[in-house]
Amino acid sequence: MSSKRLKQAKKNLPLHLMLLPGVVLMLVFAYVPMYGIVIAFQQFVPAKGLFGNQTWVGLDNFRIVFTYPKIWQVLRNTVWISIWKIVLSVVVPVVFALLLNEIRLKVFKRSVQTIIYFPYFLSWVVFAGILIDVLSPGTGIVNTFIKSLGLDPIYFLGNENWFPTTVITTDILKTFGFNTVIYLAAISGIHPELYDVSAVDGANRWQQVIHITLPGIKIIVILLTVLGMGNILNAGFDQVWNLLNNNVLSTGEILDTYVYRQGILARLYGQGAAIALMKSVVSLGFIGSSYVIAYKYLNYRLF
Amino acid sequence: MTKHKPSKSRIVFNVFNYAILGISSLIAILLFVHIVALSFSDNTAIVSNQVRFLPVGFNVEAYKMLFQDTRFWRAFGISVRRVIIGVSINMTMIVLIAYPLSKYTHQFRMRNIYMWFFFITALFSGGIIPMFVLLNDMSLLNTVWALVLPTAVPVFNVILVLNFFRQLPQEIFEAAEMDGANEFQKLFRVALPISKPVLATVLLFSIVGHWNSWFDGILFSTTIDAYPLQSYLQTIVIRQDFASAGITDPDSIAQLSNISMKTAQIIIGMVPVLMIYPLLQRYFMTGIVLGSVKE
Amino acid sequence: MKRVLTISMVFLLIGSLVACRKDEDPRDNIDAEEGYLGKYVDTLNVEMIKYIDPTASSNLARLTSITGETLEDNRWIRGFKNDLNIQITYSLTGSGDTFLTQWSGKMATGDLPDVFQVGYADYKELLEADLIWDLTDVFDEYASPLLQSIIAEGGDEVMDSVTVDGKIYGVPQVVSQYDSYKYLWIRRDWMEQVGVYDAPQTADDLIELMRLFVEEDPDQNGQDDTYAFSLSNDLWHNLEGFFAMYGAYPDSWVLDNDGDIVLGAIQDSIKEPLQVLQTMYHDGWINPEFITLDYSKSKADIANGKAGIFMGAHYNASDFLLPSKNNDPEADWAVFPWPSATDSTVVHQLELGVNSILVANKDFPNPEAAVKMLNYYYEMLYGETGDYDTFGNDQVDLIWAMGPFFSYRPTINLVPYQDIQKVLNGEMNVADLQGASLDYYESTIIEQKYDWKIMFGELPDNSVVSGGQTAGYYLEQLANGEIEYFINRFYGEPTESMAIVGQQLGLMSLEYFTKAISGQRNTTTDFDDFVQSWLENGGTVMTEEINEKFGD
Repeated sequence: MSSKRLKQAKKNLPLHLMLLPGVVLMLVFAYVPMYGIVIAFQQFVPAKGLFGNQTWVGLDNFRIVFTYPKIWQVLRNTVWISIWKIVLSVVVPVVFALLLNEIRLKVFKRSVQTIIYFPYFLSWVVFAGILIDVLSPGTGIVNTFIKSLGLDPIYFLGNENWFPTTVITTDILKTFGFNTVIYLAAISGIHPELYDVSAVDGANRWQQVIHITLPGIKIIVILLTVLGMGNILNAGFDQVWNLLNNNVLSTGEILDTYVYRQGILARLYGQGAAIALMKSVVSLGFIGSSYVIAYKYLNYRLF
Repeated sequence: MTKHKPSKSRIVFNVFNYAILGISSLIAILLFVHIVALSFSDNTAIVSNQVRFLPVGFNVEAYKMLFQDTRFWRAFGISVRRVIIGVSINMTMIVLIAYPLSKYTHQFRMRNIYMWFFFITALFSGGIIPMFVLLNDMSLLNTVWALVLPTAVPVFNVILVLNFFRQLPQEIFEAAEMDGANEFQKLFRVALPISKPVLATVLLFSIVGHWNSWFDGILFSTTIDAYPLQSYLQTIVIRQDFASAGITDPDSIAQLSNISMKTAQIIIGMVPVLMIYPLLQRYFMTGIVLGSVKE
Repeated sequence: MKRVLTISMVFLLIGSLVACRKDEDPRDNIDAEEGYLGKYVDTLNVEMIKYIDPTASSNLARLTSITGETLEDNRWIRGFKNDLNIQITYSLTGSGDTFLTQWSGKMATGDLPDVFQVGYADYKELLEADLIWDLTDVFDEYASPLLQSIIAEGGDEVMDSVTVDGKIYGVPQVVSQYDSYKYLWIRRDWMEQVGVYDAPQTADDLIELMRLFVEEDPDQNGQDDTYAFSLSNDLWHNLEGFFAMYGAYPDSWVLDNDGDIVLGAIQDSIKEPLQVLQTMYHDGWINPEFITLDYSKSKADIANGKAGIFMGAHYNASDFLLPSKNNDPEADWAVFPWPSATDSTVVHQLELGVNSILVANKDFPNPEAAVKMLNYYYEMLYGETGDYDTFGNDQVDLIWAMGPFFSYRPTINLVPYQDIQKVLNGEMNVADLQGASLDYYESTIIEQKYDWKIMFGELPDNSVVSGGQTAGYYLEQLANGEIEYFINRFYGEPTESMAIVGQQLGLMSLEYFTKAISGQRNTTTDFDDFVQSWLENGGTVMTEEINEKFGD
């Protein structure tokens, strides 16, 4: 090694040391279990043991999964719901963070922050139960309101056309409060001087928001969106499983609920693993492309 | 800063703003009140859908059952231990990893390799069965380590923090270097003190994540005695499908106040974490930018 | 260089884990005294697993606070130790839906327990992988008469379901096939209100009664807010009896006229009752929200007095009917016989009453222990030397579920019902009641619990409506053959294609039926499409496989 390299290596030794514990932990607890990916290529029978004499079936599991007619409908539902969730789960909390930022009354500001962050902690088992009541076409509050406007009641959870919208909206309702936290943190970190300077220049509040606040949180917004994109095939198992019913399967069955039925309940572990592997590859593709796009067009390295 | 008199449009906006935020909060409050009411209500009333915002047939049976349960308190203790150990490990790992990764390749050649090394683990997984086998072979099942080691390095949080570090003005690091600081000192003496908002953020995520997580507690324990709180609460929820559970004993069925149990468990499981946010709030308010204005 | 290092580390780690698998020395067989309950000379350690159902689990928590007993150390565990010198330990205990995943993980470690329960699919896989003992001879030699009679009570199919090429590799843990019978519960006070004083004799009578319940304001609140019956979105629990009236069985495999086994859901017999249901829904007789009402939520309509007919299991008297009584003291529930819609008597579908199969690990040196443990279990509950008061229900209920097994005799409710009736008729003395009968008598007659009374005791005798009975009355008719039934022609582990498409096809069926009832599909062309789709997507192959296995 050249002396320059040697010098840099020596200087960077502390950095390597810092990374060492993390590397060891990951090797043991992430890379070793990755052996399990082979299950996707086996007809896996747990009774024989993980390292036991399993039958290898090559790409058969993948073939079976993709030749079942339902899979395309399931994928379509998943992507549709996912994309809307990703977009709204950034837009709505950002808007709320901006609105909250405008509140001068500290007590109100703090209380609202704390209160809206509560639904995040409900399990979907419970929240779904409540939603079924609240969204009921007969006695639910929402439809009572709709009827008072002279309109027909809407079966939000029982109608296949409405189901995806309901899923997306209620998920945002549950999580936006918590996500607002992140954006508030980002907003509050912007140099106050930037605002003062622009005020002197005659900017009004709206202009300040557009030209200072939003660009100020641009990076974090992009970052979270991209990380969200990695989740494109996770449309929210917990939620959908608890809200799903037999009438809305055509628009409501997502990849994970399908995998739960096939991979766990029907004990087709190989197929479940095959789908999981496929999901990982897709996530990699999405995040990889986003990274490249961000780098090329925004000149920013996401990580 | 001179204080201007609010313009008309500003007043309108304020009203509108307070209204929206007020209604959103109201909905959340009503939701909370409803759940509390359910937890104190009588089973017949719940089954009949009679409970709205006040308990019907007020009783504390569900809470009594939970509080007298020694297993409940054991699980509570395990959760507390888990959070303390797990969060400490998380924060240590996050900080130790985000700092080197915040360097650029020209400063730290191996940086990208390390980055991909960590990032791949966030996308690819062998699944829970291999993890179970691994923990079994390492004799870590039923210990708190099974709950904190697999998730020791939360990669997304690392990415958040490393981005934050990158936004810090490089001059302060250069200044420290000229004073003879090494990398460790630059991390602990320079970077961390001014990183409070992002650290508070990932601290919150870490605490919430560990406290709420229930699936791993069930999966990596072979006995109920090793369950953390949320895992334990999950198991005492009564299954609805009695046919497959094979229950024909009507006495037991009659005792099932499943909804009031569920809701009591939610309240108890939730309250500690609800308390955390107000405590961490002030850290979100000060400090330097999480995303700077880049030209 | 670094990369090489890291990769070799990974392989080293994997390698060491594989190598370090525990290789135990083979254990020695332990001798025992003669007989079905022969005690072991030295302590025999038996490693098992335990799934404890959530209700039993919370009961156990209360028991712990009363007596200090736990899952690993309670009267059952001690009993096995004292009387058989068998020490039971659990290498996995769990509760709830995640247990299946936990168990898969446990199996994958390659470390199977000694004696344990499995489902049919695991059973098949284990015996094919040669991991469990052939128990044929062991069972013949050691099964006590009580054990054999209990299994016999479940019908021949019980043993058939675990027999492979004439041999058995596990002992079935029976529960009751009668539990899957659906009763026709009707409120007699409503019948009186609408002027019907006799049991419905035909299906049309029943439907007419339903119409009256919907249109004649039986709850007398001046509002048009009543339904005919309650319906939950899993459909079958509530509708099996209804379809049976027409000789239709949407969730069972049945014999057709040629003697072949076919799926009930795709037979033409479905069309008429399905059409009736669709019309009912259209006319507002069924809660339009049944689509989102799961089992738990569907209780509300009964509890609130919105529906006067309930079609379901006997034990629903506790979680469905009792709340209705609590809300309205006038509620007077009774069971009526299912009328027929055809010229023939109604034949009901029942499910095979097997909860799991008890198997023994090939590495375990004393396979006969599996059988002897079962002997002991049933002896403690139902045998002469047993004590139901201690081992069945005591300070809390479901103590019988806190031992290593989950099983009960198929006639569990029958004998207590009959004994209670004998006491009520004066044919028997209370002092002669024993075991479960005494237990049931206490809840029914002494504590006068409403749900117990309408199941096994007696109905209020002041009703002007005739023909109503307790559930026990019809249970007796089932048991002695007066009510005809058949057991689902398919049971046991899934066939090859069923394992792959079974789930989805079942879902397809539920989807069609749900939409048909709510009017989104018709019962003519759409039905044919459904049948076609079912057959094409694996149904045909599945049917062939089942006929191969169960046909003549």
